[in-house]
Amino acid sequence: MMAALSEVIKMCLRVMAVKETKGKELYKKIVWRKLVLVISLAVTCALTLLLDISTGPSQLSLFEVFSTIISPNHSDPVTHTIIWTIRLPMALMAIVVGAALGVAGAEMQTILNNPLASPYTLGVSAGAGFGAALAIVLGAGVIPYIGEFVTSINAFIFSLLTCLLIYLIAKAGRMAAETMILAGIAVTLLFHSLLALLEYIASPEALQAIVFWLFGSLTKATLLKVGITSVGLLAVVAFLSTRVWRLTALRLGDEKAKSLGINVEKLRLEVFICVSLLTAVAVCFVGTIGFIGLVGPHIARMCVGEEQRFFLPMSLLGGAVTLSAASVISKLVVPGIYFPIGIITSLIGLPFFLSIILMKRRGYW
Amino acid sequence: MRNLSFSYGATSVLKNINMKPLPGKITAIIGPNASGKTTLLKCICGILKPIEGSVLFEGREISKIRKEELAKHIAYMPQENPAVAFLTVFETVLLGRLHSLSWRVSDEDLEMTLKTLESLGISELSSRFLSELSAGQRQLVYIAQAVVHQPRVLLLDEPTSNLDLQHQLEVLDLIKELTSEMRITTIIALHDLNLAAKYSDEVIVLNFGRVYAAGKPESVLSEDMLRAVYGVSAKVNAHDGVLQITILNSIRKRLAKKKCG
Repeated sequence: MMAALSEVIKMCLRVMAVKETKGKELYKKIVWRKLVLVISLAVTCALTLLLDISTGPSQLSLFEVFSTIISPNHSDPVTHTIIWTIRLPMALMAIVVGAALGVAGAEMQTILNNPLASPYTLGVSAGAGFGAALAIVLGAGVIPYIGEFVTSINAFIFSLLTCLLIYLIAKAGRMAAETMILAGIAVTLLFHSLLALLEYIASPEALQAIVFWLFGSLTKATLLKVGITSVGLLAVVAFLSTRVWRLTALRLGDEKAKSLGINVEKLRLEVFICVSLLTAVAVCFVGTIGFIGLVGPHIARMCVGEEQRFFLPMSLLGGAVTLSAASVISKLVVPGIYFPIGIITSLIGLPFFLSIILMKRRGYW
Repeated sequence: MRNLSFSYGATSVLKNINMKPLPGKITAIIGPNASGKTTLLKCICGILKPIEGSVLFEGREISKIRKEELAKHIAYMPQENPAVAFLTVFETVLLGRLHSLSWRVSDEDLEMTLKTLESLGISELSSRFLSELSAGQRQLVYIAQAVVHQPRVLLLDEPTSNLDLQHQLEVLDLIKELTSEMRITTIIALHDLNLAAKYSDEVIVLNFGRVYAAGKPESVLSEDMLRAVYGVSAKVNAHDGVLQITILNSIRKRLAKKKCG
């Protein structure tokens, strides 16, 4: 990640260097535009993060917020608690989970060759939801502290199982775009019906816990969870960044990619495993937060195209910005209340989803 | 020295094919639909593994050469190429040099990409997205992608299928030029027999996965061959040393008509 970042900066400097041959000039033109877009989205991301930290039910001034962050030891204890145990973890979680879902969506779309693929549309979130509900109904949700982690771990396991299921379906259906989406619907419906069964037999308390989990929420974020998700995100991005060109070449079709010396099956499997782990980590702590994995890459594709050196960071930032913005909105809808963020992302994401479907006619996919 | 001999046994797609294409020459593979042209090309570039027999590249069996290594020397352009990838023309061609690309793109890669784009006359399209191009323009882009890393062996599957008459001639002229200048071993699957006659140094006729005939165009492209392999009657004339094939009609149709009559 850092290596990639420093390369981007170096690239930036090189691009600005004078005296160039024609080939470089052309390349410069293409790369420069994309670089500007990536940087502006990064800046936007930083701004939404700040905005996210400074909004909340307790009316804190901007000055109070920043002084508490910069010098935690010299601040008012109440403000300190609000910022460090509630707002900061939530805001960071929004960024990290958004980024993770953006990356996961982007690479799912790349390896399945389908712009409609994302953790949510393929049913991974539904699988995670079922896993979480199972843990809650079996009693784990009632145990304080540990119970919450058991729920997350179960959601994690079920996300992975769902990914495996999708991969098997994808292989059997030869990765055809339509097959994948229909398979995603089938998987989602399967877990929804299993979930309904669980809800039917659940106690009222468990039922409430399930429903809350399914809404998707950042309110249970802690710095530890942010840390775990960040580690997962960094590891996966580092791995993917060594394969940027090969992933880009996948867009040329399997045959061409193979003739370029790429072991296509191996690459697909490696990336799919990475992306599944990343999705599972992101989803297991926050519940069902839909469409981020679709919106992030969609923004990226529109802005910088599918050359992965830009597509990957742009999808990451796109996901982060979207979820961070949704987090801000979730605090503003009903002042004083954290509105479940999953509802907001679904409302934002659906129009995107529909627009991508409609773009098929214009040769978008 | 390149010495590509090929044989592939036992299955119904390709049967015991032997060929020895030469560097600096264009070998055209012709034959009706489903005669195994594409399969043959895929075997040569190592995407498909022959059940029997082997493909030799510079005396070494290609299945024993590492894939990345092989890809440096052999370029393959499939018949079907994606139309909707969100990549610019420049990036698409650059990908042809995959083996030397990293986060930093070297000046050499950039220069070769531009040079190739210029030689095909499409450098002004460089920053356009693939989906904004016509089918013919895209075809040129993919040809550029195949030749951009200066392969020793160039395999093209129907490179002229989407091109208008002028572009067909221009592209094949260019391929011929590159082939002899850089001593590339070029193998092209072609549908158009007149183009095969005009541009190839050697023609291989495939029929039901077997080599029906092989040799110089003038000895292979005969009225008898067309009747036997394609099921058409035709006239073959020599015009200034280039064969001209005029297709008259399908024999199958005539037989059917006769039966009806």
